[in-house]
Amino acid sequence: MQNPTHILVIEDDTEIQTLLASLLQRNGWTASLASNGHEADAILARSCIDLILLDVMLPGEDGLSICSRLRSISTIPILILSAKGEDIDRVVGLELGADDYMSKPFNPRELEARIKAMLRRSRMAVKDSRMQAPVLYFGGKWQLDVRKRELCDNNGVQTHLTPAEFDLLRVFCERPGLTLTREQLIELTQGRNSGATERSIDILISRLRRKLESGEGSQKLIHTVRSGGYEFIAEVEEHRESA
Amino acid sequence: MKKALWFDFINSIAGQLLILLILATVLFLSGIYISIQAARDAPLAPPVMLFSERQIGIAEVLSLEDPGDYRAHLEELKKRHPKVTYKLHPKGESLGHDLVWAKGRHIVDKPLSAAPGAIAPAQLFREPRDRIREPGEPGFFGVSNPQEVSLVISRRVEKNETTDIARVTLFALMPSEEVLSASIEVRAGDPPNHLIENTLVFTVVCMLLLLFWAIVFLIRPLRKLASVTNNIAKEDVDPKKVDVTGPTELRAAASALNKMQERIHHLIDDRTRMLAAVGHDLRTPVTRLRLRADTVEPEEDRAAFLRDLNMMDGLLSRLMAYFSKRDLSDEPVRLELSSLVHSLACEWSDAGNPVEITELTNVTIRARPNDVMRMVDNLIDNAIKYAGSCELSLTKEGDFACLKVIDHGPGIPQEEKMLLQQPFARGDKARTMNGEPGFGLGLAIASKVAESHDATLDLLDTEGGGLKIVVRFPLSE
Repeated sequence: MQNPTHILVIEDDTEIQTLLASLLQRNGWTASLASNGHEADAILARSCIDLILLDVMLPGEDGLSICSRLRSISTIPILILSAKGEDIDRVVGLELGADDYMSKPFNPRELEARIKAMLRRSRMAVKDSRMQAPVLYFGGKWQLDVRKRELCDNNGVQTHLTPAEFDLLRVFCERPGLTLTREQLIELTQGRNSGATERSIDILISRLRRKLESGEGSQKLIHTVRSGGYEFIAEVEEHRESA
Repeated sequence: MKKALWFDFINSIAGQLLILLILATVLFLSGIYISIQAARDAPLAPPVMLFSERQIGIAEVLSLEDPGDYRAHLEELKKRHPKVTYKLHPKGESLGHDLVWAKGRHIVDKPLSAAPGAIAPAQLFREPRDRIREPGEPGFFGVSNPQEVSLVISRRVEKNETTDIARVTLFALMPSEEVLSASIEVRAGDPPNHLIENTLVFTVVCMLLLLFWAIVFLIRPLRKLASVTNNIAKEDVDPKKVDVTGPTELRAAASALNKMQERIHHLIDDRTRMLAAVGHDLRTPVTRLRLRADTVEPEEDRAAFLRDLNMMDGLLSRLMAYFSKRDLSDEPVRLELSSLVHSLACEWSDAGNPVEITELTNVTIRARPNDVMRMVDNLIDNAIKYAGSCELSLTKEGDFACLKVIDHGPGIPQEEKMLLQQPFARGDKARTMNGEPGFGLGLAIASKVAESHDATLDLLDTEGGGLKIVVRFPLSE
């Protein structure tokens, strides 16, 4: 195993700080605690941080401004924790460069799962630059905004996806033309030991197909490989060709 | 529709002012028309009248004198009034056949119809001289009161068609049965032809000016006031100050409205701030509890903890959803509604609730996805809570996307249906339910969301019992 993952928690409520720290330590991660922007800067300067949990309502500099400041100097994944819970905050946070967003009170298990997913993604990102593209175009008419977690067609009509459907589609879009087994899909979307079954992947695939392949002018995008798994057969581009 | 518009205009202040002005103008113009018509018919009347009066007076005074002195007095008169031609016609001289004689001052002014020879001096009515002047009484030019005498007189007016000049001759039958005639040329006044057009133009200009004044000083401030008041009625709109202009009464109303607006805005602002603070401050301890709950040991206790926490969280987010101020930058997008309904149905059925989709058509609407999701989620939540199961259908009906949320539960009595769309209202059944989260905001939030999307939300009965909620969104393109 490599050196333990180091997670920085920026949160002004000391009790939540300690509770988060113990939650992180239970998962075998190292936690550093900061209660404002200054302390966070000091910790970032002297240690190598893998991921940041960031509260929005902070004394002094607020979380959103810390987020945009950090994003301009580094690519450390940032997960925003906000008590505001308003949708508009979510959008603003993601637009400012946060990688994910959870509103308080959050389910600790979900937090663990998201942290794992983010860490996995950031490790893989080094190898595959395609993941950095904020918008992916595929299947002739679809565009997937990875930042805002939104799927639109070329008329700007938004199609709603559940978080699980989005994660699955993203995994497919990042690996077009590859046959992925159900186990691989579970691992890529939810991580190992998540308790997801192969059956749940099949259900998810059928739901995704309903949304992607039901409209007029839609083509088949997900191909079932007999006794293998699934293959995303659409062309994926990072930039729309001007045609 | 057209009739209503017309009625609206008549009913408005502008319309009524216009009617008033039109009536006033019609009255004014008809008065002017009548007087002008009169002046046109008899342009000669005033000068002829004046001349007649004077000459009758002279003749009456002269008649008191001795008939032998008439000529001498006439010479004197001619000297004094060089423009008037005086003549004394001897008895029996023909004066023309057109004269109609009348007693005293009752001159009949249609003399031209008399037949020739109809008037003979012998047949004339003759006022008896009942009074002889006393010697020493003042003579002709000294008499002050000729009213005691009444002569028989006649008048002839000869009009010249080409010029405005007419010759007026007044005849008076003297006691000596001689006839005194006095004639003069008079000029008719200019007929007032151009005047009526001028008056008309003047009146119309006045009317327009009045109307303009009314619009600028009365109606415009009133309209502004009305539109601002309307603005207050809408939700989530920044206050707009009314200009304090116009008549005094309107100024008072405008400043009162401004004060009221400010107060309402303050109240709403306070409410929003308070809720944000409450929301934030409550979420922090809930978050702590949520983190601690995971370490609670006996499994049942933890489950109970989590249930309570979830309930608190649900209440908090609903409260925030209902009362938080809409961010105006949150623009609606075009949304594939079926995908959203499908997502929610999947989430609810994944959580073990019997949610069934009976029909799902692809429809595109303009919507704020988060709001619509909250609304549909609330509707499904209600159905699950009160009926235990839920059927969803999404169809296209004309220009509308029609979403039906159907349950087979107890339903809602007709009289409670309106009430339930108000915040904090709950059906009787719901109030007695234990452990189910809800402030009675579910339907209120749904109605609010529907309203902000120009959608209609109807509460109907399911055949065979239960509630059927029908939401119709206008389709996008």
